[in-house]
Formats: sequence, structure tokens, C-alpha cells
Amino acid sequence: MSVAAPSPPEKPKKVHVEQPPALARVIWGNEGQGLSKLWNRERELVEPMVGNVVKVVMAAFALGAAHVARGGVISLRGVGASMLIVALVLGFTWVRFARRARTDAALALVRTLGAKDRELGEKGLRALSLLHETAKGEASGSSELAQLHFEKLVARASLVDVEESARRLGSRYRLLFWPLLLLAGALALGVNWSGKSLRFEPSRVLEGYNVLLARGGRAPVAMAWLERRVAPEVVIKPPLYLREPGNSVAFGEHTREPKGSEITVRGLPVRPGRTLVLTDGVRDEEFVDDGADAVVAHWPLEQSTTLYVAARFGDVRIYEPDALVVDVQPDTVPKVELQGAPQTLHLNELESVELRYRAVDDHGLRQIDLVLRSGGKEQRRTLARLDGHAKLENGGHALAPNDSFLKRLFLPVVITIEAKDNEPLSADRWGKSAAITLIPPALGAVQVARTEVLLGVRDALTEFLAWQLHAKKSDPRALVSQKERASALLADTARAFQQNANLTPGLEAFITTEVSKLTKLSEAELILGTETALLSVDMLARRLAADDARFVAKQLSEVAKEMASAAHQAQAPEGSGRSVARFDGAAGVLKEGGQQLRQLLELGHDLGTLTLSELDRILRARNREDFFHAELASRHLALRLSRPNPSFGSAASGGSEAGQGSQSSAQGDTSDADQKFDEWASQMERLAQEHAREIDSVERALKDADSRVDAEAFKKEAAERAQAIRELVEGLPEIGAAPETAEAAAALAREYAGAMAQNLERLSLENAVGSGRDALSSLKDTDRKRRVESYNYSLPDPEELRQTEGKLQEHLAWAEKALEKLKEQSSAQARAQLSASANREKELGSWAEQLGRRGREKGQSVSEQSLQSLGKAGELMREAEQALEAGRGEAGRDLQLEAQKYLERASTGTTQAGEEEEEEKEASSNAAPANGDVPKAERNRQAAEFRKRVLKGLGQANGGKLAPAVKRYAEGLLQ
Amino acid sequence: MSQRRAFQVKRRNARFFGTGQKLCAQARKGLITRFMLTVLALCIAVPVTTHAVLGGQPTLTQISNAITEMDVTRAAELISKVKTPSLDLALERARLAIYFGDCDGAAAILRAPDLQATKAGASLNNLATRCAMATAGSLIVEDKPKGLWFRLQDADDKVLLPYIADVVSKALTQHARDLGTDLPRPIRVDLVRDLFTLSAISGLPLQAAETTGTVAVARWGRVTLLSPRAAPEGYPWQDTVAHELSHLVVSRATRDNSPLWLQEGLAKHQETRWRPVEPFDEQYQPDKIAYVAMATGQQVGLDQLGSSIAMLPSPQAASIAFAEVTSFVRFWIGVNGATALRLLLQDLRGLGPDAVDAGLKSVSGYSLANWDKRWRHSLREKFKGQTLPSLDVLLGGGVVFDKKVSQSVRLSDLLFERGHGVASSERIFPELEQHGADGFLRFRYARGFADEGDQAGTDRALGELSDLKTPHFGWFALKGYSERLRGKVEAAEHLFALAVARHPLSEVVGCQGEWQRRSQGYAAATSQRPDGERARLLCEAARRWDTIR
Repeated sequence: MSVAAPSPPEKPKKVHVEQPPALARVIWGNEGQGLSKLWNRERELVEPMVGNVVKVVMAAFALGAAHVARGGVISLRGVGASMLIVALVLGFTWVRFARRARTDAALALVRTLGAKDRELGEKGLRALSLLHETAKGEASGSSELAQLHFEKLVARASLVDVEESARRLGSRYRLLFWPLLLLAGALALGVNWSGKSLRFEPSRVLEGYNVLLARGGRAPVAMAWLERRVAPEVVIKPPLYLREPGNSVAFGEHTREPKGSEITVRGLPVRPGRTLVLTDGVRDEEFVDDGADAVVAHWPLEQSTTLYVAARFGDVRIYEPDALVVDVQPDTVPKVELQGAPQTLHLNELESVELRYRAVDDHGLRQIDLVLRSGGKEQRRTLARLDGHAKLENGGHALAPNDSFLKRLFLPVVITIEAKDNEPLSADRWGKSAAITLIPPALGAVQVARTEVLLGVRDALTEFLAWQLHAKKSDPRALVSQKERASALLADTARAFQQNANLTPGLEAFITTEVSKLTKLSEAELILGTETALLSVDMLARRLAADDARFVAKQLSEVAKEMASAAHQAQAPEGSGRSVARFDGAAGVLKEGGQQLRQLLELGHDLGTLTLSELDRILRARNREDFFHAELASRHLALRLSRPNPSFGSAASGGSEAGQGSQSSAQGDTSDADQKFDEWASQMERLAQEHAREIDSVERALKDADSRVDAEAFKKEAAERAQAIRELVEGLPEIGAAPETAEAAAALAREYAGAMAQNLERLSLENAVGSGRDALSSLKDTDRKRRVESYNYSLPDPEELRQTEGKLQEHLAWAEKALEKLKEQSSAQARAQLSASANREKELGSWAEQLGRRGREKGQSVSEQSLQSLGKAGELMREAEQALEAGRGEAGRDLQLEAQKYLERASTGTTQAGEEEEEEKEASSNAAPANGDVPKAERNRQAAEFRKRVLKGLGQANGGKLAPAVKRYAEGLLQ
Repeated sequence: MSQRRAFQVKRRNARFFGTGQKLCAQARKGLITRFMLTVLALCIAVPVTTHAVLGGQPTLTQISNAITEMDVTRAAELISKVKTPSLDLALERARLAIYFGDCDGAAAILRAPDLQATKAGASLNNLATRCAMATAGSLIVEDKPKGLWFRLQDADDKVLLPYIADVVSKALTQHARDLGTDLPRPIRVDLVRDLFTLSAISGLPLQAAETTGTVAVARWGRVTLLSPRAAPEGYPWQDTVAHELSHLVVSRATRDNSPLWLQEGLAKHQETRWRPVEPFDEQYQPDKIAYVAMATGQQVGLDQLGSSIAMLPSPQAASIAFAEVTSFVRFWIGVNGATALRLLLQDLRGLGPDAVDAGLKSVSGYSLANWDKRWRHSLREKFKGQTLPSLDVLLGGGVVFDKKVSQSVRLSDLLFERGHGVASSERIFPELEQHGADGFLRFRYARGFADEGDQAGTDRALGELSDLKTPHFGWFALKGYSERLRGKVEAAEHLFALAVARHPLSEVVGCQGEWQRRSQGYAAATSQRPDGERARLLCEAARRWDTIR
């Protein structure tokens, strides 16, 4: 039963005042008496119970703080910390309160006197107040009276009432204590409802405090998260392309693994419900349920790391004590060694660039490329594609100086071999070798060398002329040795030609003819003849130099474009360094090229000096690092050189604007001998081409006729004879005897005879005849050899052999006759076409005669050898015409082929250098000529390509568009 | 004031001014004239003053006129006062930049798509872009005291600048005296290396320049001159400079309103007036050429010149056209006097384009057609009954030799280059029988002797100036050398100057009659180099340049 206690009197605001000892004695009375007795009793009964409640509340706050902080996020950790502080503050306050309450008279009066009687309590408080006032001085009244009054009031209080009130208060606190204790207990045990069950997890408190005390997201105390009794499974699997097995390790170990490996950690969680992660402190890989009560996490290894298993609580991770330290073993790019690199070579001094390389990789090679870089251009050529298993690859490659890429370049070419490994993830996995740098010849150097040869001849002729003029004036008898002088001049010229490979045969033929003419002139004619030759050579030199100057200028135009491009890039901050180097490189080439160009006589001097002065302008801007203007000036030069006309391109020698009294001038063209020669040589080339085409048409006609000939009439007999031949040679030995013996020859005869039989069956009579002749020849050889050998039991006797030979001869005669009949039929079939070819052959023959006449005209510089060859060709063409007209296709074709050889011998080509022509042809070189003409020997490159095509053609079956050329080439080889 | 209104006011003033000029001619000394001139001056001044007082924005016409008159400082000032941007203003700014020689700046302004969408903008942009490429990184040499600004494509041409500067100064003085107008300083000259660049800087089509043999253009407020090194045989560059400067003066005087015949006629008239009469000047006979062209139906016609003489179809047509306009202008000046010419130029300035008839009438009382008739009549009267040479002969003192002579020339050159001087001279000698008065051949005949140190032979081969009918720079230089050896320094200097006027970068000219002796294995000349810094530099430059063998 609860009794409503009277409300205690209100405690004065200033509750606790330190009393002087005398006053204290008055208030509290003697030990065990008065107010102290009452107050002590009241505290004895209430204070323990209140203290317990306070403690349990403190515990609840402290434990609750751990649970709240376990959320991990900063706000919850803040709340948790606050709760902990609250618990501490509460405890402190209680202790302080309890200590001070012991001497608090006002509180004691309220809680004792006022416990039963509120009015008494208030009186007590007033009396206490009076006591304090009187203690300060007499003005407030008598202290003795006040003391007496206070004592009387205290005496009115009953101990029983105080005890009753105290017990009542204590029982109220007891009501609070037990629920609070239960709550604190639950918190301490970490009671939680997880899934469908109630769990007791006291570790949550530890986790909570761990999280609360975490710094930098890491809890201070390590905890085990995966079951240690069954050690976690840690497997490191290398990347697939390495084809290596996995590796098991354990936490606490230090290992080194290939980059790209995958680390898999599997284990049983110690405490379920936690978010477990595999972490390096920065990145987390969460563990997931593997379906077998375990959890698993995967970690791709990209860089060296230290891995922990941890539980994540919000932003905080509580790590396990053991870490797995993994160092990454990077997959190095392949190492490539290029023999001789680094080195710098001059392209014009090389016959070929031999590149021998060795590529090594730690895991496997996938591809090897040859990389050519020049300025802003790059070309990659794949040398090898590998399966990715091979760790070592040796190889070689030869690069020809006339390589199409190299020929187009003017800047130094940096050659590297680059290898790629089998690592598929990274883009740039190329290992590069040291470089071989090829320095291309200066632009124009070839042309200058050619011009110098011509100028050398010109100077020699000038000297010869000067010598004659001088000799004529001073001592005419000296002219006696003119023939020797002229011959010496011719020999010097030939030597000069031998030293320069860049002269075309046409050029050589023209000059040689011009000079050799001098050796045949009389005394009276010599000066004039020398002057004519001198003017011819001079004109040729000037004309060629002008052509060369135009060609070189256009090449330099490309260099200027390269400079403009580099200058443009150099204006961008990101690419300035490399671009500047590129610009400077091109500037060097332009300078060198300009100096060469300047040596190419009039036009070359004009354009060369212009190039150098413009380069000066460009470099003026470049030296100020003003790449904008350097680009503009480079573009101007590029445009100018792409139009390589003289600077003052007018026909007039001066402007018409101003000035009086214009000067006279001489014509530029002082000789047209070279033009006449070129015209003749072009005609000669055309004649040879037309004639080759005509041969093709005759061959086609014969082939078509062959295909229409009916050989069925011979089929039956041919089959019978084939059988007879096989039977005939049955007695001869098989292949296998020692070479160069009679037996080996007999075996060969048997094989040939077998081939003859087979061809007869197929009605391939031409081949049958060929095989038959070979068989007969071998039989004769057998007979000859057996005479010098001792008796050979494996051979038939000589008589038998002679009979075999005789019978085979008979079969061969039949085959030849049949073949002849077929050819006659074939010729008859092709007659109409052959007749048309005969007419064309006649026209071509007339053309040849006409060219011969023109070549002998005065002022022409055609060599006697060319004219003789042309004459012979003309004769053969006439004979061929007659044969074709008579329907003898084969004979006509043979004569045509013979004539063609002479025509090609007569054709020297023109004097033109033809670089531009070659470049154009190169651009369309993919299309092989359809007519199968034999390219002329002077076109070295074309000839080389032709040889390649021939070799390819020889390896293939008959026919195809190159067949006639192949045949003629092969014939040429045989001769 | 709107542009249209400003234009109307100007036209009205201009008409009034024209009337006043006529009155002036009638009563030159009277008070009425003075009064009228004062009134006219006020009439012109009022709109400008009003404008200035009111402080309004300058009009585009004002800006354009200032640029055309090459008053670039004033044009820049006017542009800076314009507060409302417009496409037309941007075009004027670009034009001004080109007049300043700042092609980069012009190209930057004209890069705006709106401007490029206009025909004028696109055209000017094309010019500015090509010009910027052609001039980037060029060497700029400025002579501030003399008010000269040179831009050199080829820095080696720097040695020519003192020579060009002399001509510019003398020619401008003469033009100012004759035409009553001077040019604002600096005078801008672009010295270019080839026709390609000349075309890029001036805007003259390259093909046209190549066809007619254009060597210089006066446009965009400056002279663009082809370097003498571009022409293998040189050209009369000094008279060309004077010629082109005359164009600039006339453009400024008339605000570019003069018709082409007047421009070219005056330029031809003025091109030799800056210097004393020189040998071979008399060979140019424009009256005869015009008359023969007229008589043979080959005349071009004053009003048929098109946009430029350089655009005519052939060098011969250009030469005839030059002769016609020269003859006509000389005739007109002869009849009306130099003062009338100055008045005509001033009148054209106010009258605007296509008003030459009005100008001619107001100054001289006749229209162009009338003057054309009078001029033709005068030519007919002048040459009545005379047998004149053919046009080919009249147009050129020099000839292009036939093949036989050309072969001799070439053989002589080859022998000379190999050091066979006398042989080379002897080889050319037979050709002198027919062409003995030709400087080109005479020089070749003489130089062989000179190369081998035969001074007597050299003198004999050279002959005298009076023996020549056609000039040659080499002959002048070698003759000058001979004269100096004889102690005739003044005559020698005169001859050297004549040579420099044609081909300064030829070694024989630049080194005043000396060269590296072929007969001595290309040894340098034994005597001293020319006196004076500029002559010495020219010799060195010529020696570096003239290396074709």
C-alpha cells in the first residue's frame, strides 16, 4: 500500500552554505543526536537504492553507446560517444550530489522535518535562516534565541516519520532499478533478433567500442572474422594467358604474383551477419555467400598490396590481425635486340639493310613488327605473328634501299624492331629495339652527280675544241694527233659513265655516239664536228639539269610541307618538343637539298638559291620561336616549289613597265640533237612494243587454232602404239642404278618411253615427240656406255636393244608425222589471222626501215650498233611476214621472236632520266602489264620486278598473261 | 550624317569646285578668282569643320579616302573613333592593315565568317592570306630619317637598299615637283624574289604577270618590286621604281580616281625625269610606236586597257599600250602645260571615278574623245610622209639572235668559262660583222681579252659608246673599268652606274668590270675591290650570286 507522502517544503535556492564550526554544531547537534541523527537515518535508507539506479542507468548508456556506434557512420558514432559521455556525467553528478548532501542542512531539514509535516519543514528552514543571520551579527537578533528556536523545531521531528518517508522513497527507486538492470543486461549480452532467432552476441559491445574508437576508418583492435580452426582458403590464380596453375597461400604470408592474377579468399565466418570484406584499406571486395555456408571474395591483382579480411561497419573496418602481403610481378614488355643498333647508316652507301633481331619475353611473344619512322610518317610491317607461347624469337629481314617507303622519304629514317607479348589487357605492350638510323641521300645528290658527269664530258669537249683552235692557229701539224685525242676523249667518256650508275643507257648511247663521231671526221671537219658535239652535249646537260631541277624542287616542296606541318604542331603546347625536332630535321634536309639544287645549272641555281633564301626567312621566324610565321613561310615555299618555274618566268628579258633600250639576248636552244635522238629512241621503243604485241597476237592465233584442231582421228592408233611402246621397254631396268652407268641410261630411256606412251594416249603429240626423242637419245647413250663397261647382266643384249631402238624410232616417226599433220591443220585454221598478222608485220617492217633511214640522217646521234640491229630486225621481220603470209605460223612466230631480240638491242631508250615517270609508274605498279612485254634492261627496278614475275611464272603452269614474256626470257637465259 | 548624305554633299561640292576651276582658268589674276577660290575652299571646309565641331563618328567614306590617299595614320585615327562596328568597317580595317604591310593582321580580321561570305571580304582575305605567307619572317629594314621602309624576301638583297633608297628619294622629289603631290612617309617597298611572291603580295594574277613580264606593282600603298637577281639578264629596275612611285603619287593626288591611261601615261612620262638623260633613252619613241601601231591596226586604244596593262594578252600589246598612253600624256602636257596637269589631278580627286571627261573639260575644255582625236591627228601630221621602221624594231633595241649567232654565243661562253678567253673572243668575232653595234656581243668579244689581261685587245673589242645601238650591262661595266684604267674616273663612275641600273648582281657589274679570272683558274681579280662600303658589299654579294658556269 502506498501512502501519499506530504509534499516536502521547498528547498531554499541557496541550498548549501558552508557553516562555521560553531554554527554546524548548533545545526547538526551532537553525534547521534538532533538533525544529524535524522538525516543519517534518512540517507541510510534512500541513498543505496538511488545509487544502484544511477549505476544501472550509467551502464545502460555505456552499453547503448556501443550498440549505436556499431552503425559505423559518423553520425551514429557521434551519438554513441554522446551517450558514453552522458553515462559518465551521470555517475559524476551522483557522486558529487551524494557527497554534498551529507552536509546540506536545508536538504536535511526538508527531507526530515518536512517529510511528514510540510509546515514544520518550512519552519525549520526559516529557523535555519535565522540562525545564519544571527550568526553574522547582533543586528538580526539574539543568536541564542535563534539557536533555541531551531533546536525546538528539530526536536519536534519524529525519527519514525523520517524512516517511513525514507522507506517510501526507496521503494520507488527500487521499482525503476529492475527494468533498468534488465535493459543493461540485454545490452551487455548483445541480444538481437536476427532472421528468425534471438541471438546473444556480447561481442557486439566490443565491436561497438572498436568502431567508436576507430581512427581513419580503421578500428584499433583486430578481431577474427573467419574461422581459424578451418583455415581460410586463399588461392592466387595467374592470368589465363600465362597458362600457369594457381597458388595457395595463407594470411600472414608474403608472396609475389604476376600482375593480373586473381586472389580468391574463401572461409567460414565466425560471426554471421557482419559485412565481411577483403580490403587493402582503400578498396573493398565484399565477401559473398558461396552457397555452402562459407563466404568468398575475389581480388584482381593490379599492383602490390596488403590484403586483410575485415568487417565493415558503416565507414569503419575492423581488420583481422593477419594480412596477406602480395607483391606484383609485372609482365615486362618484350626485350628486342637489333644487331648493330644503335647506329647510323647512309642509305646511298648500302646495297641492303640487313636487320637481324632477337626478341625475348618473360611469358610469350605474339607479334614482331618492323617499324620505319621518318618525320611524321610511320610504317609498320609485320615480320612475324606468333602463338604467344614462344618466349624467344630470332629473325632477320633485309630492307632494300629502293624500298618504296624509303624512296619517298627525305628525312632520316629510324628503324626499330618492335615485339608485342601475349598480354591482352594493356594496349601498349610493344618492346622496342634500339634504332638504326638511315640517312637518305641529300635530295638532288643523284641529279647533281649525273649533271657533273655531263658537265665533265662537256668540259672535255670544250678543251678539245680549244686545243684544236689553238693548234690550228699556232701549229697546224699538231692536228695530226687529232684521232688519238678524239679516241682518248671517247675512252675518258666511257670511264666517266662507268663511274656513275645513274645514267640511262639512252644518255650513254647519245653521248657516246656524239663523241665517237669525232674519231671518224676528217681534219677539215673536226672543229665543226667538235662544236656540234659540244653544243649537243651542252644542250642535253642543260635540258636534263632543268628537268632535274624541276623534279628536285617538287621533292623539296614536300619537305617544305613537312616543315609547315611540324611548325603547325609546334604551336600546340602538348606536341612542341617532338615537332620542333621534326621541323629542324626537315630544315636540315631542305638546306642540303637547296644546296644540291643550286648546282643544277640555270633553273637549279634560281630555284636553289630561292630555296635557301626562303629557308633563311623561315628560320628567322623559327629562331624567334615564332612557329606561326615559320609555318606561313614554309607553306609559301611549298607552294612555290610545287610550281618549279623560273623566278622571272616571262618570255621577255625584262619588264615592259619601265626602262629604255632593251638588251639583245641569245636563244636558249642551241642544239636539237638530243631532242631528235629522243624522238628517234621513243619511236624505236614504240616499235619494239608494237612488235611484241604482234608476237602475242600470233601466239594467241596459233593457240586458238591448236585448240580447234581435231586429233580424234589419231586416237585409236595412238593408244595401240602407246601400249606397244610400254611392252617394248618392259625389259629395260627400273630407275635405281648407279648414276652415269649404262643401266641408269637404260632406266632413263624406259622412263622417257613411258612418258611418250602416256602423252600418246592423251594425244599430246608435241610432248610425245619430245619424250620419244629423249628416249632414243637415252638408248643411244646406253649403247655407248655399255661398250666401255664390263658385261652387265641386268641389261638386254645389244641386239635386243638395237631392235628396241628401231621400233621406238618407228613410233616416233609416226608421232612426228601425226604432229606435222595436226600443225598443218592448225596453220590452215589460223591462216586468216596469220595473214592479218603478216600485213601488220609488213607495216612494222616498213616502220623499222623508216627508222633506220632517219637514224642515218645527218645530225642524228644514233649509234651504228643500234642501226645494225635495227637493220637485222627489219630483215627478220620481212622473213616473218613471208612465213606468216604462207600460213607457217610457227616459223613466222620464231622469226618474229628473233626480230624482237634485235629490236630490243637497237632500242637504247631516251636520254631522259625519268624519275618522275618512275614515280608515277610506281604509284600504279600493282597492275602488272597484260601483254607480257619484256621490260628493257636499263630500267633496273622494272627489270628486277620482271625477274620476280618470271620466277613466279616459271613456277606455275603454262599460260597466263605473262606466258610469252616468260618464254622469251627463258630463251634469253638459255642463250 | 549618313554615308549617303555625306556622299551627296561631297558630290555637290565637287561639282561646284569644278565650276570654280573653270572660272580660275578664265580670270587667273582677277580678284573674282581669289574671291571664288576662298568661297570654294570654305564650301569644302564647312562640312569637315562642322563634322569636327559636332564631334560625330567618321564616315566609312572618310576612312576609305584616307586609306586610298595613303594617309594611314589619319585612317587609323578615324577608325579608332568609330564606335559602331560593321562589316564595312571591318573591311576598311583589313584594307588599312594591308596598306600598313600587316598582312597577318588583315588576315586575322578577315577570318570572320561574315566577312568571308561577302565577295569583297573573300577576295581581300585571299590576298591577305597569300601575302601573309609570302611576307612571314621577311627582313624589314627601316630608314626612319629618310622615311623608307623595306621588306626583303631575300635578305641578301639588303646590299641593294642604298641604291634603291637613292632612286626613291630622287624620284619622289621629282614627282612632287611635277605632279604637285608628295607621299606620306614612310614609303613602303616590298622587294620580292620571284613573280610568284609578287603575285601573292600584290594580288596580280600570276599568269598575267608572267605573260607580260611584270616586274613591279604599285598597289596597296606600296611598291612591290622584283629583285634584279630574279631576272637572269637583269632589268632597268631604277626606272621601274620611279615608274611605280609615280603610280602611288597619282593615286594619292586623285584619290585613285585617275583612269588607267593617265596613270600609266604619267608613270612612263615620269619614270626617267628623276635622272639626267642617259644613253639609249632616245631609243624609246612612244610617238612612233603609237603611230605605227595605229597605222598597222595594232593599236590598243586609250580606253581599251582593261583593269591593268599587265593583264593585256601579250608583252607586245603591253608595250604598244605603254607607248600610246605615254605619247598621249606627253601630247596633252605639251598642249596644256604642267600646271593644267596638276589641276586635272586635283579635279579628279573631287570628281570621283569615271569622271575623267568632266575633269578634262573643266581643265582643258575638251573631252577625252576630243583629245584622242587631236592626239592622233598630231601623230599623223608629225610623221606625214615618213617611212617608219616596223613595230618590232621600234619596240626593242635588242634582238633575240638567230640560232647560228646563239650557237656562237654559247660556244664562246663555254670557251670563256674554261679559261680560253682569247679563243672565246675569237669564236664570237665573226658574228660582229653583222651585229657589230650590239652591246651583248661586243661585251662577249671584249671579255675574253680582258680575262687574259690583254687590255689593248679589250679596248679595241669594246669600242665606244657611240658604236653601240643596244646596251648591255656587261659592256658598261667593262668599259667603265677601261675608262678607270685610263684615269677617266668620272666617265667610269657614270658607266658603272649605268650597269648597276640594269643588273647590279652580275659579277662584272657588282665588281665594277672585274671578275674571277677564268684563265687563271677562277682566281680573284688582281686589282683592288671597289672603293666604298656599299660598292664593296655589292661586289661581294654579286660574287656570291653569279656562280652559274
